[in-house]
Amino acid sequence: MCFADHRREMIDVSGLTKHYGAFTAVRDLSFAVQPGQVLGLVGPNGAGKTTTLRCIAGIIPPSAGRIAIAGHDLAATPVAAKRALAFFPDEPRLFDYLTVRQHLAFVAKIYGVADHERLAGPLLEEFEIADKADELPGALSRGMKQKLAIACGLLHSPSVLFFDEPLTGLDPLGIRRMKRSIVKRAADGAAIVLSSHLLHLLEEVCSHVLILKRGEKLADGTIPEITAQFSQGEPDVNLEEIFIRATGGSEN
Amino acid sequence: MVRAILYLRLTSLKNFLLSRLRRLRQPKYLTGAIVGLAYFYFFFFRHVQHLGERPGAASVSPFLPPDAGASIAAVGSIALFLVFLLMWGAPSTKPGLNFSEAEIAFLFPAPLTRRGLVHYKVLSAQFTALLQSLLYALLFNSRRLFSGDAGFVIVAWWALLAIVTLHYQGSSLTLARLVERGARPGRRRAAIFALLAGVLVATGYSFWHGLQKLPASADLGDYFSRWIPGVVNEGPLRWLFWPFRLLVQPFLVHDAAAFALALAPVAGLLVLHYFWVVRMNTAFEDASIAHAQRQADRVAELRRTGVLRLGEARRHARRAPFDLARVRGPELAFLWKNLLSTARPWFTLRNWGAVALLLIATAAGFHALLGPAYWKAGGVLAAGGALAGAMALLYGPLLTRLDLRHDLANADILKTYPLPGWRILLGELLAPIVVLTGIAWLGLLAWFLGLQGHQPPALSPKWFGPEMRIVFGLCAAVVTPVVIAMELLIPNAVPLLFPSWFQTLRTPGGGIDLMGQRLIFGFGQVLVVVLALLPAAAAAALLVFVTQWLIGPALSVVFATIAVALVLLAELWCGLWWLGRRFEKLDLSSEPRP
Repeated sequence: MCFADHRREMIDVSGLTKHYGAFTAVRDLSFAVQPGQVLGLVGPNGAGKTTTLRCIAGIIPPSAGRIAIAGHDLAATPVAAKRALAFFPDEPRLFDYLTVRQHLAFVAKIYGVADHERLAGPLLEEFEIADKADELPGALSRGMKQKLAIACGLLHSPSVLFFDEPLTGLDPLGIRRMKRSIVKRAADGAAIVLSSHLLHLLEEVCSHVLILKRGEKLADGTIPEITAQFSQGEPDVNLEEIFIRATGGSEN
Repeated sequence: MVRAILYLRLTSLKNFLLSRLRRLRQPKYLTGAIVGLAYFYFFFFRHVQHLGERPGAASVSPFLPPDAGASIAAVGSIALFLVFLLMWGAPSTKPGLNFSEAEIAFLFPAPLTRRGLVHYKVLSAQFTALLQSLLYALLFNSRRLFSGDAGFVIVAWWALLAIVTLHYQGSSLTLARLVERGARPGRRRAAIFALLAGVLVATGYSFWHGLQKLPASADLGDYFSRWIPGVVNEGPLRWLFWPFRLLVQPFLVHDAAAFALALAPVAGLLVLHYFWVVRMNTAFEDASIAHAQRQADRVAELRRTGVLRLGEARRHARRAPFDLARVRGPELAFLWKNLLSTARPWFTLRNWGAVALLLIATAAGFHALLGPAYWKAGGVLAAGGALAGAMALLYGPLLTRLDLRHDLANADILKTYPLPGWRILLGELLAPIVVLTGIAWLGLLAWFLGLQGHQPPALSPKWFGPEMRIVFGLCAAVVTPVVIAMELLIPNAVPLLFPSWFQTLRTPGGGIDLMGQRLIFGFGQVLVVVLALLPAAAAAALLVFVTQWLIGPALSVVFATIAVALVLLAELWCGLWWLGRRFEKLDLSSEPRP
């Protein structure tokens, strides 16, 4: 099913709700992300960021609401929708007995990437793990595992990318490269959603911000729009101050 | 999809085997592999002499009578019934398909439908079932595995394991759907319990009814071995056990035609199960993620503490075993902490006292009730007490991990404490000493109470008369904690003397080399404990032998006990001091991962 009215929007979320038993993790959340935009998902612990990302990446089913990825309804045509997206969890979870190269080969088979060897080389070079291509995950550092997980996600050239705390475990150089990689992919036309507690990352990388608290949207817009909404006319208010004002400075 | 699964499974298997072979370059793995292979040869391959020959149609095992097949089939059917019942009764409030964290990370966001994921799980499980069938055939049917029946045995095991796995997946998805529709787990469990209770009542009645008809001279064992197949094959329960009898049948036949005939209904069940599982369109993702997280936590905990937690992680604080503010000595802080970490909350002084009072009350009650015939009940109490005490003394130190080994993951913090190594080690040993001594003392009490007022004819009145029993009981009570401490000191020396081997031993997962290493350490531990106890035992025997003529058996035993305690305490002190020094110098750099 295609959403003719929202053709420009790569990610279109409408009324997303997720319950875990009696607990509501996300309530009636709506937002959209267009090609080239990077949306930063922020909120205190337990705000529903990871649940939102998992729902819109098709990992867990929402309790209510509609999600469209690249014009495909995630519930009605999940295969077409998922073909366009990649999800990067906060912790790299890899198969213990597949080497770096074999991880990419496996992902290529799952996504039907025909010439994966031609694509895998530059990706491994980009993430500086080419010399580890024949190593098992047990021989990789935490940062290298993270890089491998990202390389696997990018292999099928997704147009929609979801990052959950993308900088966890990376060294300063890795952080810089990751930020550049996100910006580059957005410049190439990808729609990106990332969740992070690192507000300076959001300021550097994101074009838009969505603030969540207890599963509900507090604010949504470009960084200047959000700043204007919460700065109360004060000049030079940074995103950290905005976040504290928006969320009331506590989890509850 | 099938190609991707095959690629994942076969490549993983190849890499797994290669990594296991590569690590044999390290002497510790090679030694372990040699010992493990020797163990396997001794237990499974030694009896294999006539490769390719079919064993006789009637034979089940060289260790069992030829007509044991019917009983084994019946027991197998009952076991399968219980396993299937457990699948419906045990699952938590969130049942779902079990995926690993890597599978969730790679496959859940991949362009696959939910049914595709279920297919992945079903096909992957068949791959695992095939490998398991080889292992089980080796463990349970090694004689037939190395005969012309090898194909029958492997296929029979695969079909059985495939159905068990599919049924588990089907029941999980069905239960997930029921939960989705608001069904309560309590009601489900009550229904399963009612079914089990019904079966138990029916079988109990059948057993009693058959027993009534039995002539007084009949052999009870013979009746029992005929009664079990009767329960499964005849009477009202035969319909309940019918599908399980079908599953067991392929194991009992020996020619191709009979095997094909036995396998046909199993294949039918397999197909039905397959359609049941893949046709269920139930949301399992949330439960699968939660399950994978729990599994990952358990593995991390196993790596950290060396203890595999079976249930959920504890969420609520426990009442402290004693008031820490009122005791002196940092060792007691370790005792306090480790008692709080025990898996069971009932290791408290109050509970020990309650059990002791219960034992005394029970013995007194039986005395009042039975009078001179008290020994009938007392004998059972004494035997049970002796068994519990012996188990605590012999196996307790082998089984417990509530000491330094449990805390080794925190060794970097322990080393920052302003305490000499021996005090830390002593503190870490106190909790298992207290717990095991408590069990052993209760066992002693039960033994003593059970034998009250009775002199078993097999025991010498001079050495085991009522007064001597008091002496023995008190002396054993005195020496028990010292012996337990010595038994615990040896395994706690392993991580300090062989840290690299120790880290390998607690690696999750198996392997013939790891099994061999565990055998080496198990045997070594027992040997060292025996050697450590030998001087004390020799001193005690000599003292008793020499002094009993002069001062009588009671005093000679007291003197011997003092000697045993002194020798063991001296050994303990030396061991603690030496291992404490080793702990202070312990290099915390970790063993590279295999």
